[in-house]
Amino acid sequence: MITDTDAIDLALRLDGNAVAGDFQALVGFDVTMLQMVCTHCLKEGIFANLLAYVRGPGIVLRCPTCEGLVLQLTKTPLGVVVYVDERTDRVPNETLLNAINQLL
Amino acid sequence: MKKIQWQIASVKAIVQETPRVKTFTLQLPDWIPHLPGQHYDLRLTAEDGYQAERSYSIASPPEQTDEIDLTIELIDDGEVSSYLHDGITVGDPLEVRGPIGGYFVWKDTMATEPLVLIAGGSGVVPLMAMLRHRAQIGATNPTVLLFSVRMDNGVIYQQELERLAEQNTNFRLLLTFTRQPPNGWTGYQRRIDKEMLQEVMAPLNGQPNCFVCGPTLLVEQVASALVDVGLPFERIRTERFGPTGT
Ligand SMILES: Cc1cc2nc3c(=O)[nH]c(=O)nc-3n(C[C@H](O)[C@H](O)[C@H](O)COP(=O)(O)OP(=O)(O)OC[C@H]3O[C@@H](n4cnc5c(N)ncnc54)[C@H](O)[C@@H]3O)c2cc1C
Ligand SMILES: [Zn+2]
Repeated sequence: MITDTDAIDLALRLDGNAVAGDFQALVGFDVTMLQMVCTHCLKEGIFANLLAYVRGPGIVLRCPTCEGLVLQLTKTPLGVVVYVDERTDRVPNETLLNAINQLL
Repeated sequence: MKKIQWQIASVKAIVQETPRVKTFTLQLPDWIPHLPGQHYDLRLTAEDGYQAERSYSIASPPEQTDEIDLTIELIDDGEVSSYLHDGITVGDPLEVRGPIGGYFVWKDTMATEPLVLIAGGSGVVPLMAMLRHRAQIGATNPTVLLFSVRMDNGVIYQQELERLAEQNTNFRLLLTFTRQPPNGWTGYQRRIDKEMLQEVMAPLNGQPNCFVCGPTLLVEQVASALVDVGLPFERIRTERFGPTGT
């Protein structure tokens, strides 16, 4: 039995690829190969390599390098709420954000 | 590109692969050719509207048209896997969408480069689609599957894998048993580590494409060991299946 919250988080960790279906349904294209920039550590990477936590009320995507929050998506009965962390002027990915913004 | 839609598949066949693993062949009204390594999402809906969604890799190669094979391990107390194992019979409808994912895929352009596939448990499923497709297109690139299983009776696709290894001298099958090896077993009997990876990769010329799939912890440990033995990050593709059982 795992009791420690960190250990549970670790065990339940998936990758960006695991949430590709939800994002593709939302924005209409495969997001896995999109170049992403982490707003915290500014490292570049691709969507598929983000850390994904999917067992909460929504989907949380974190940077594989610094574990900073990159994207959060919550499904509600009324629709989908997307939260993108934007502490700097560098955004995770313009293609993805534009697509999401058009939906909201 | 059109949005992927949920569709109702019909269960065409169910095959027991190991005591805890079954393959479900799903007939799809809207089959789309996939790349080996892609997955489908599967959604169950209860009478009260409650829904549960899980991802399952495609086991069949794209040459198998109009249907897909999903190979699913029974997880104790697993919401979706136990329903599929105990509650589904041939002819039943199942709601799926896919194919999904453009990252964890073996492309035909890689067919001339060495290939290293590393699986833990049901993580072998997307790798099997790659091996099946590789056989279908007649690729002869040096390929090895390093497959970590717990027990003797846990080797999913065992006969087919052994047959593939016999038929194609450029494909090697390497098993490692972490708990209970078969009687008289002389191969690996431990978790995948750096030394094992070094041995497995040594005969390959050039930098292989490497696909690692299975329980989260195995994937992460193997990926970092691969970096330690000198494989560049860009050559390593990983797919995490979730918790490591007990
Ligand atoms: C991209 C992708 C592809 C996948 N492909 C396959 C596949 O081809 N075949 C396959 O069998 N599975 C595959 N999985 C895992 C699958 O999606 C489910 O996680 C798994 O079937 C368990 O779901 P469940 O509802 O039965 O268990 P849940 O009800 O979700 O969980 C029950 C218990 O089992 C634990 N658990 C959850 N998932 C796993 C797991 N994967 N291994 C061990 N323990 C677990 C949970 O922590 C919990 O304690 C894939 C996952 C991803 C992200
Ligand atoms: Zn970061």
